[in-house]
Amino acid sequence: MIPGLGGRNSLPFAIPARFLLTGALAFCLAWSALLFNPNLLLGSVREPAVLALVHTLTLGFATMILVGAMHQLVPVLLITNLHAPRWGNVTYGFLLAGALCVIFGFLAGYQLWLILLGGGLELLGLLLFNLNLYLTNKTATQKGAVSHAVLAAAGYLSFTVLLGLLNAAARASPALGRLLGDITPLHLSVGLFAAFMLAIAGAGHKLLGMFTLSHHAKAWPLTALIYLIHAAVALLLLDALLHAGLWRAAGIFFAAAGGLYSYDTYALLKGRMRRRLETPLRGYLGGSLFLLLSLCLALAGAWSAAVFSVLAGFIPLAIAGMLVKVGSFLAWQHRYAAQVGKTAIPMVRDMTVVQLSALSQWGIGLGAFTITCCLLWPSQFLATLGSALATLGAWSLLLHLLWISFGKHPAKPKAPSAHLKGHTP
Amino acid sequence: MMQTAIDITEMNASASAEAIIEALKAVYDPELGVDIINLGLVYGLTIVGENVQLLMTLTTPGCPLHATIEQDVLRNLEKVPGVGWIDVQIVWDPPWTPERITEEAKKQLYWL
Repeated sequence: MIPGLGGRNSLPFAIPARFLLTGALAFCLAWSALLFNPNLLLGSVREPAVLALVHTLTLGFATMILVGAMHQLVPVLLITNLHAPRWGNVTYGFLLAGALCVIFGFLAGYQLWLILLGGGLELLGLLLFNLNLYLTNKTATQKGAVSHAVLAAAGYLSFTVLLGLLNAAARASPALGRLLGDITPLHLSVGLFAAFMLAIAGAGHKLLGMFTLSHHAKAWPLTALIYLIHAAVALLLLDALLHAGLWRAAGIFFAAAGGLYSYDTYALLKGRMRRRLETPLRGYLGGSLFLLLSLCLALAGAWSAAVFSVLAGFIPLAIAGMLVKVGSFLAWQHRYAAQVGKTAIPMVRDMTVVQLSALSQWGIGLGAFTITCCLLWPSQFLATLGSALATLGAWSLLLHLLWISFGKHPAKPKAPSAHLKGHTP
Repeated sequence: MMQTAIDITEMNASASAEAIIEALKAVYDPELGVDIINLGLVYGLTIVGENVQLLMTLTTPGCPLHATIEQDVLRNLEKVPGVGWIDVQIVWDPPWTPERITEEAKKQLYWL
């Protein structure tokens, strides 16, 4: 048995599926809650209810899905078995309990003890996950830029939560607050760019190449992106100590990393064999536009809109696109792999519904754009429209995942290959 | 027309290479919907008597479909008359590239 491909340590479907479905549900709940109170977008972004929304999107949605997907992806990248697949259940418990405590801590009007408890649980879950990845990495038979990016992103997820925890602790202890200063920008930058963008760039490099049959893209843009992000985080940490205005240089590094991400995506697409892009992949690419929009908004000094452009547009679109592909692959393996050759079974793509993919992507994309506009030009109409579109997109995504996981998929006839004669004995 | 080469060795073969390759055309990559012969995943085929050794790869190293595809290969080869002992070896060197896909399958995949 080749490592990473089964055996005693093979990953049960329920482990990643639990993370992915919980993440998609959190995404729905976040936007549905906003739909019931769109005026939240018209007030301060530091309002506890807005922070609850932001943490539902980051901890409930993005972190859950990235951690769930990494359980499957990392062994494939490293060509080895996950050290302890069942630790995933414990990680899931910590992350779920942690996210709920943090979100309800904000909703209850900034209950610090609940936020600290939630942050602690979240950190424990992520540390356990990182330990699992570290021990897996020790048995790796192959390493490269993609695995470096994904493992570093997992480390930055823990660091982001630690910074959030320190931020909350600083509110409880004025002495600690004076010592640390305002680390909210650091918490936000590390989370959005070092954790989420790096994870998306790393996983995207592998998955986009795989799904479009593009095998000629070089690894250097991704490698350079990783080191730019490490350098940007180092600069931000130095700035937190020295207050020397280094955050500007860090911002330039993050922007350059975003540029490299776009270039890497372009290079992969340019060398692809499958010219027609599947709907989920088009959504993934649509996410890149929000990264560009965010850069323009940041240059114009519209910080809240820039952050929401990444949080509501880039991250969800990139994640949703790959989620449909990865989810259908996982579900196929769980439901149909054992029946291969015995009975007619669907292909992986027969498990997805193009219309649901398109609806979720357009809903998420247009919703994120409208919400970004609402932060620039506050209006109740834009707030309601944006949250309604995002809610539609989110529920379509969840419905699609449920169909992929549990639906009755048609076994369509395979592409005719009997007429293909291609081999030379 | 460019075609994918399979290194075939036959010694006192009790099964024909053509029959074996035809049987392998029933083994599909479930993601791409194309069989492993036309994807160029098969590198070598050695038939000695009724013993068959197949050297093949997958589209990406560490592909989780390894066990599924290997089982499907075994199941299909067992049906070929004259085939007894079967050994399927999956290798990553040389790595697979889309250039190994046959021209006909490339056309099929182009807009798929």
